[in-house]
Amino acid sequence: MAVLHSVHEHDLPYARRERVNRWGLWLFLISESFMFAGLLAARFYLWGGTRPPLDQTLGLLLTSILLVSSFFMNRAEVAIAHDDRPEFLRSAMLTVVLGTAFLVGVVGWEWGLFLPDGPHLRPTDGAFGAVVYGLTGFHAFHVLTGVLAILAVWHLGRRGHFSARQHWGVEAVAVYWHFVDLVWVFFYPALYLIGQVVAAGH
Amino acid sequence: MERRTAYLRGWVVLGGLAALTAVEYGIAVTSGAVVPLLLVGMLKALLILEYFMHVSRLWAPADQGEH
Repeated sequence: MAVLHSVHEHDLPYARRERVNRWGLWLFLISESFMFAGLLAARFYLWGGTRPPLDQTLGLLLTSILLVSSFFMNRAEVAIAHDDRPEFLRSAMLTVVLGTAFLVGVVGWEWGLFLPDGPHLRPTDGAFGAVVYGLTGFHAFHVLTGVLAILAVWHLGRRGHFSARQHWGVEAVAVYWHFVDLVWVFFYPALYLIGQVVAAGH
Repeated sequence: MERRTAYLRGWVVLGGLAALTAVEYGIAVTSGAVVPLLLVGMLKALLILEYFMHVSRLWAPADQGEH
């Protein structure tokens, strides 16, 4: 039993556990990136040099919101790494607000939930609809899980968890959030910028 | 890294990402060429990977948790 106890993960030094955790997280993100790369490949295969007439202003706005949210998540991580708890809590909550704004933008306007005439593009509108809803849907789900994870570390941070020396939880959530931003860096041009605009249904 | 310097770096990276997004939009409006758009995307990805995701920490010694 003593041998079993000695290899228990809590007996490892924190720095070593953090290193192992970090590699585990990155392996998970690499596996995720294969799925997102598959979705991108589907976009280029199905759309080729065309794209549907999506709202350019909305696309740019969503991109800006996500980039600024990444800035605040990075600020939250830097803050907790310097024992600046008030700034950590403030920046993490701002990230949650911006992430939620992104979700509302996608679901409310890109998917047409808040539009009086309904969506301008439906999931059933051929390759255009399938790709737009496939890419934005998978991505939005990751944004949602990211927002929930940030809320979890914000709550723990408010209760005194994490310190300058031990804040793997915050780092992990921050890296995940930046990964979601990284995916959008490629989804944005693929959906909104690349190709000639062709009306849906053609 | 000092807290002030770390915060400042965040602003610089955000500025870089914003500038590259503007370039990206400009390319799309003027020519819409795929390769330049993907190259700008790659640059943005590199900034995020190195300065926000700290990919180099994977190879750093275990006791170096630079922020």
